[in-house]
Amino acid sequence: MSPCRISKLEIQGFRSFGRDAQTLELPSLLAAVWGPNSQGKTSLAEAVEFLLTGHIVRRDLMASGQDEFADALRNCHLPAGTPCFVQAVIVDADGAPHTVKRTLKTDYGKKQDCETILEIGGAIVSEAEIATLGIVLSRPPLRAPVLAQHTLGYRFSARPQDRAGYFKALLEVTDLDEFRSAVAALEKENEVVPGPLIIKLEAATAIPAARKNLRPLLAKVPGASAIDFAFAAACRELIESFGETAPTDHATRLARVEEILAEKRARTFALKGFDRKALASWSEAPDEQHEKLSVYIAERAKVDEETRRLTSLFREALALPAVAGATGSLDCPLCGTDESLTPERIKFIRGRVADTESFQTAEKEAREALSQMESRLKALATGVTAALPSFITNPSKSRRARNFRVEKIRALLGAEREPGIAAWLAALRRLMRRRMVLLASARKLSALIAPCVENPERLTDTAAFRTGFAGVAAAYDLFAVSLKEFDPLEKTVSAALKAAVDADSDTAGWQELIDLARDQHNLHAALIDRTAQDQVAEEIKQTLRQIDKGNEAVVEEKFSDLSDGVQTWWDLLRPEELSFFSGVIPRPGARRTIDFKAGLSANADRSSPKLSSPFSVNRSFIALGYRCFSLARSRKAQDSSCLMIPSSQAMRTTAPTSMRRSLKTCSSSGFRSSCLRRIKGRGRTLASAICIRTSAYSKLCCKVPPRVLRLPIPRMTLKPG
Amino acid sequence: MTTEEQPPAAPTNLERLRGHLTKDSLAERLVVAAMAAEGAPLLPALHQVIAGRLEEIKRKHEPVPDQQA
Repeated sequence: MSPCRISKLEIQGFRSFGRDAQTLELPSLLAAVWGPNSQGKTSLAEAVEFLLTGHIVRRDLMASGQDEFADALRNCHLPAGTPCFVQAVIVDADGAPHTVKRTLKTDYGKKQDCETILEIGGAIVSEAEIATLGIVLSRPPLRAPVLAQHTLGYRFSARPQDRAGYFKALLEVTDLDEFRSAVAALEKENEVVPGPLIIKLEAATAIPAARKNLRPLLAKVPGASAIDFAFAAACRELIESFGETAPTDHATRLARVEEILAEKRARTFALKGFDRKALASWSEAPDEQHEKLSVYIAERAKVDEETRRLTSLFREALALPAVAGATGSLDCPLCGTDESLTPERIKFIRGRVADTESFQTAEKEAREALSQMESRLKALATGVTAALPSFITNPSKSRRARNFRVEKIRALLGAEREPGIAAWLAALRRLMRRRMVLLASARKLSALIAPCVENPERLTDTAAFRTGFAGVAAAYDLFAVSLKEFDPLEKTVSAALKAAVDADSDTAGWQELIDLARDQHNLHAALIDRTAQDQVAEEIKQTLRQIDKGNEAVVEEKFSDLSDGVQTWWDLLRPEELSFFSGVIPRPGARRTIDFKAGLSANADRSSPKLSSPFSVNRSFIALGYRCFSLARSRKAQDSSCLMIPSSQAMRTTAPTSMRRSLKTCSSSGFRSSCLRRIKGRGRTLASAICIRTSAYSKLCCKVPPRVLRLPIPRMTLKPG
Repeated sequence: MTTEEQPPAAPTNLERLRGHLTKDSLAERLVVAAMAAEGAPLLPALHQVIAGRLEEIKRKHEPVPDQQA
C-alpha cells in the first residue's frame, strides 16, 4: 500500500498568486522547487497548509501576526468576485485520486479568524473529512505537515508549557499523562469516608469508661470474639461507673446499660415522647363488601317480613323427628292444635322456608361485611393514633408529669434551633388538623354502620356507605402526606434533642455503644471494609508517586532517543563541522521545561565540547526540524505529503553534498516532496546536485524520476492607478 | 526483509513505564490493566483492579473456615 500524496496543486488568488489559477504537477517522489527570493515559494508552502487546515500558522506564531495578516490570504489586487482557492489532487493509500478544494469565504481580520469552505470531490465537507484521505494532522499550532523557518523557531520560543505539550505530543507520551490522570481520579474516588457503623464506634469510643476497651477496635481489625469481649468489658465499666456491680451475663449486662441510659436521659428530658410507629396502610372497604350489602337488600325485598320473622321457628319445627318423618296428620308442636299439621301443610311450610334460604345467606354475608367495615374503621383510628408521637396522644397531665414541654425543648436546644422547632411545631399542627378531619369522617361513617351491624333490617341504602368510605380514604391520604412532611422535621428536632440530652446527662455515645453491641457482625464487616479502604487509599498514593517517577524516566528515555535522531540528522547535514547537536532534554526537576543544547568543540572527535543554547548555532534548527518532522510522520499509520523549507541561513552554509545526503534520507524515510529555498548564486549548483543524486537514487526506489520545477510562478501585475 | 530479520517492535510507553515499577505492586497491576484495555475506556479497567485489591485485603481479615469442621 502506498502512502497518500499530493499529485497536483492548483492555486488562485491566494497570497502572491494571481487571478489566473496556477497549476503545479508533482508526479515524482521527490520534487525540488526553486526560484529567486519573493517569487512565491513560501506562499506555495502556505497554500498547502491553508488547504489542509484552513489557516496559516505564521499568523498564530508571530506576536504581531493578527495585525499583519489582516486581509492577507486573498491577493489584494484580485478583482472583486474572483474566487480565492487552493485545490489539490490527493492520491490516497489505495491509489484513488480525490480533488480537495478550499475556498476562502472571509479573510482574516485584525481580531477575527478567517472562514473557508472545504470540498472533497465537489461536495462540501467538515474538517474531519480530511482524515479520510489518510492525512493525519498534528496537534495545534503546528498541525500541517509543512516545515518552515517560523515553525522551527516555535519549538524554541514557545512558552515552556506549550513547548512541553508540543514535545509530549511529538514523543507520544500523552497516554502516560492520561493514565496518570485516571489513577489520580481513583485516588479521589477512594478517599476513605467513614461509614455509619464506624461513626458510631468513634462516638462510643469517646465514652471515657469505654475508651480503654473500644479504642483498640479502631486501630486494627479484631476477630469476632475480640469485639464481643471489648463490648462486654465496656458495658461492665459503664455499669461500675454508675456505682453498681455488673451482671456476669453479657445480655443482662447490656440490658442494664440500656436501663441506666433511659434513667439518665429521663432526668433531663423524656425522649420517649417522640416514640411512634409507622403509619399502617389502610384502604376503603372493597367493592365486594358493598356488593354483599346490595344483594342483601334485594333478597330481603323478595320475602315478606312475617315470613322472615317466622322462618327460624318453622325451620325448628320441621327439624323435629316426628314432623320430619310424618306420614299422616300430626298435632301442631307449636300451638298444640289436634291433627292440624297435615302432610299438605307440612309440604307448604317446607316450600316457604326454602324460599327464604337465599335471603338467609345474603343476610349472613351482609352481617359479615358490615362487621368488617366497622373493624376497618376501628383499625384506621388505632393506626393513625399509633403513627403520632406518644407525647401528643398521651393525656396532657402525663406530658406535664414527664416535663415534656416545648419550653423545655427550646431551653435544651437553644435559640439557634428555634427555626427548626417552629417548623416542626407548624407541621405538627397541620398533622393534628388532618387527623381531626380524618377521625371525624371515620366516626360519621361508623355511626352509619354500627346500627346496621346490630340489626341489618336498618340497612336501606349502600350509597351512603360508599360515599362515606371515599371521604375517609381522601382524609387518610391527606393525613399521610402531612405525616411525610412532618417526619424529617421531627427527626431533626429529636436528633438534636438526643444529642443535647446525652450531653446534659453525660450519656454521649451510650446509645451508639448499645446499638453496636447488638450489631457486632455488621460492625466486624465494617471494620474490615474500613481497613481495606485505608490500605488501598495509601497504596494509590504510593502508586501515584511510582507513576510520576516512572513517567519521568520514560520521557527521559524518549528524549534521549530524540536527541540521537537529531544527532543523526546533524551528522548528515554537517559531518565535518566542529559544532554539533548535543541533546534535547527535560530540565531536571522541572515538568514543563525542555532544554536544547548545541556543542562546540575544538577537536575533530568533538571531545571537550562547550555546550550552549542552539540559538547560537542556527543550523541545529534544521537538524531538530528534520528529526521532529520524521518522528511525526513515522508515528502516523500513513504518510502525509511533506513540504520542507530549510532556512536560508542554513542553506548558505550547507554544502550541496550534505543537502543531497539529507534529501536522500528524506526520500528513504518516506517524505513525499521537499520545497527548497533557492539561494542566490547557489541555486544552479544545488539543483544540479540534487538532480544528479536523486536521479541515481530514483533507480533504486522511485518509479518516477524527481522533478526540479523552476519558479517564479506567474503573478499578477500591479496596475498603475 | 523476512519476518526473522524484522527488528523487534519498540516497547509502548506503558510497557516502558511498567519496567520502572515495583513488581506485583498496585501500580504495576494498574499499568497491566491499562495495557489490556487497548483503547477501551481506562477507568472501568482500573476500577476492576481496585475492586480486586479491596477484596484481596478483605479476605485476609475474614475468619478462616474451620477445616476440621
